[in-house]
Amino acid sequence: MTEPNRDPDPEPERDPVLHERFRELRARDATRAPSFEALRARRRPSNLRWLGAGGAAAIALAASVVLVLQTTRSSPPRAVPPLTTTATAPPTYAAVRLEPAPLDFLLEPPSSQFFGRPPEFDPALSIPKEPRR
Amino acid sequence: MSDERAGGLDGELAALHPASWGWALACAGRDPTRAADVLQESYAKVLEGRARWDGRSAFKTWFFGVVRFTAREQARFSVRSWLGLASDAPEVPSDMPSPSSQLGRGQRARALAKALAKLPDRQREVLHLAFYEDLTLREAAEIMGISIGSARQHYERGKERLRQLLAPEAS
Repeated sequence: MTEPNRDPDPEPERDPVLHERFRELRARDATRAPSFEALRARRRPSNLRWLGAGGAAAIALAASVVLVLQTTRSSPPRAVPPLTTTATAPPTYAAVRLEPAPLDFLLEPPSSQFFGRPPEFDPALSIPKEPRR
Repeated sequence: MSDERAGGLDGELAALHPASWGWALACAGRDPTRAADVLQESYAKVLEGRARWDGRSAFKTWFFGVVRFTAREQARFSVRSWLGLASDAPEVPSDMPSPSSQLGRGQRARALAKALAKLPDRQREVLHLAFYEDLTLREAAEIMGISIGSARQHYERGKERLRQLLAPEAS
């Protein structure tokens, strides 16, 4: 007895409800379809329309680039704001400088007071010179 | 191209026109103006010999592939599609006005069109070809340029999603 030939890719079952819905859509589209002759006789959409839109976009882009370059080049150099000192600083900043955070001392290495400045020697001290050989 | 051959193609295209219109609408996001542009350009390609049917597949399958390709080609340069201006409005003059008795059907058809618009391209295309055009999955796969296995996957997922989208309306 031989096996019946089976399609390796059988068609799936078609949902009758969806089929009916699509049939309605097809009927609706058919009422709006232009005739074959009308479509053939219709003036073809010109590619210039797409080229025109692309050209306009390119011109607008180029114009904006030129505008940006112009404004960035012609503008005067920005004034650098003066450094704020304690005397001229607003009261809030001054208060911050006067009242350091309680754990700020942890940022300072040990003996930073001593090593943070050049050593000073008492000029009265006489340093013995090495004898010349 | 010889007049005889062009005449034969003209007849084939005319016979296929209602189905081609539906497919062009599907490929053009259901925008009638874009669909008309796509279909007109597809006809011109065939009749001017820019697209040649070699007879390896059915004429309908081959021509639907041309329509799909043309739609994608035009979408790339379409400012309307970039701006999302596609619409389902009847911009092309109709030969037959819709009778008022078909209002309910019209609403259901509109709801289906809206639901289809929410599906990914491949799912929408395969469902359209299977249910609207009554093509087999093998033919749909050929038009879409994908394997039959892939077409089946898009078909099953699309069908499930479409049922879900249409369910609230049915209840």
